[in-house]
Amino acid sequence: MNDRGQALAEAAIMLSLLGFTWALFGYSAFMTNNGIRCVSASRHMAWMAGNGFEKATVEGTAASFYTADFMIPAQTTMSELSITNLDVDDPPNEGGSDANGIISEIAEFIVSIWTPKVFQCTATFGVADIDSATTYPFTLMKTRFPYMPESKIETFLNVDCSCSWERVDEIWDDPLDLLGAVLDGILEALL
Amino acid sequence: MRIVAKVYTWWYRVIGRFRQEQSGQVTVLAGVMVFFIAIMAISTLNTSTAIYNKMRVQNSADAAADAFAVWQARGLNTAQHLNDLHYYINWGTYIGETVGCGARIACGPLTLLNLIPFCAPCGTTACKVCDAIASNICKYSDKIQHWASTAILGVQKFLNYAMPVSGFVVANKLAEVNGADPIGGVLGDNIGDLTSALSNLLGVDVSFVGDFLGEILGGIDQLLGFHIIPLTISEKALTLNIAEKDPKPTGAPWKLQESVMTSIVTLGDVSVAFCAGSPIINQYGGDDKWGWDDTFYCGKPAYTTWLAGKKRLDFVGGLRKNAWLNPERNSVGDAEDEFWFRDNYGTFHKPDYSPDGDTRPLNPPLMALASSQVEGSPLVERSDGDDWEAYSTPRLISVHIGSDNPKDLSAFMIWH
Repeated sequence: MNDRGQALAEAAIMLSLLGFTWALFGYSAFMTNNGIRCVSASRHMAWMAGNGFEKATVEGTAASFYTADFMIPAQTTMSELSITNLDVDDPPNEGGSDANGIISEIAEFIVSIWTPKVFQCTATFGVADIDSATTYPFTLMKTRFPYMPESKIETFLNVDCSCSWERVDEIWDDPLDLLGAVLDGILEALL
Repeated sequence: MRIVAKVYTWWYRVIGRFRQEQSGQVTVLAGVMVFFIAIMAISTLNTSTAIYNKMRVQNSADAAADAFAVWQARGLNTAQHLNDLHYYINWGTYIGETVGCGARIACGPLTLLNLIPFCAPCGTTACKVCDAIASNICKYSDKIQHWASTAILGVQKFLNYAMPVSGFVVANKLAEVNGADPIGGVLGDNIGDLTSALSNLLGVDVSFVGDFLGEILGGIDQLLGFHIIPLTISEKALTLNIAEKDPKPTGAPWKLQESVMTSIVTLGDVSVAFCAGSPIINQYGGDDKWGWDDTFYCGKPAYTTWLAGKKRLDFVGGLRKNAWLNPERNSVGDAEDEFWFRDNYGTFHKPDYSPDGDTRPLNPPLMALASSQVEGSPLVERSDGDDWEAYSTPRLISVHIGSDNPKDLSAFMIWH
């Protein structure tokens, strides 16, 4: 039995593994970096929305938070929601309680009478599916090696972050604004 | 060409040696490399997660502080609108009082109509009708002023507390949706840190105090559902800080003195005495104030600082449980020993001195502060000046924590 060439075979396997680990590391670092950029982008979008900027301006500003070389058009959304309809972006951490206490339930009901509107802005970086990807490094996942499974990382194709901000530009400085808010509240309570 | 041939010969020799080699050293070397790259990847992910969460917690605190301030501003502006309304009602009712009471003086001479032949009761009747209309205008103008004043001041008193409550609820919701954890759990983690540090200092394990308080705070979380807390606990910070005051100088548009008004009413009483009218002043019981003298709600809230946070996170991939990197430490004293992971990630990760002896590092609980203030010239009295047109607007204030050195007490201080 001839077992010569074992080291060469091992080197080939291990270098592949090393390369794969390195690529995975690089991709993870790239995505987490942009995940942090999403936090910053969503926060600025929400702040701008709360301060009365136009929707197009708000959604257009997010692109500047990502590096130009690898910039993939970030998907952004800006919604004006009732305080009771906001999405909780992240469940509490391990060991944390999903607090939804009695007092906050009652208080939320009371505040819903005022019908405060809150802007919720989301910045998403990445691609929805690999087939439509045209930009590096996502295009690498289209690579298919012979006899190997697909290289897609289905659960880590995009990162996003949401941020919500109150309508801080609506300070009821005009009595008509105040009347409008009260009437809205009454109508919403009745309907 | 020679160089190419030399390189080729060298490469052929290297490959040839690999082909002869049977020792398997490459596996070991590559395995070690893969291990370290994996550790680097997990550490990077972990650090990124910590930064990501730290930024989100700051977003939570900022959004909450701004929301609370905007509700304060809305409350102040509403109170100012009510002050304006109060002013205009006073203005209208004061005209009513003056005109009504003044007109009564002219009612008495109407009795002269009795001198017209065949119209003896005409003058008396005209005087009585005139007195009824004028005195009711005079009387009800004053009553309307009193009722409106009571109602408006009552609403303003209600707003003083209701608007900050609304602001707190909205701020709390914003902190929750922006990623802040229930604040009791976060504080529990921090109290655990403080008591552990105290244990370390004293050489006696007092960390059970932190655990006990942590449990209590967790229970409060469940009951109340708070994701933020104000750091300034005072009525001044948690209300609009407005109160009923007499904001002098104010006055009627034509500056009639109280004595002038009383003289007008007395003259009216004398005038209608001929047609059996009853004195106006006595109808009010003598304690009512004529005309303009009234109170308004004035004040300005203090800035408010809010705290939001995120509980401890385990390391990504359970890295902290890797015994190769973090040898088990079983006592507080042992935690003083240096070990690789804590030293290399001291900026983001602190050791967890839990009573079960698990001193391996965890991501620390993250906390963020934000302050807000209402600016402008809120709640100046409704006067002839221009100040009342300056409305209250919210503003976020930068908050700085002191030194990063945990032994420096100034680290716990807040600068605005």
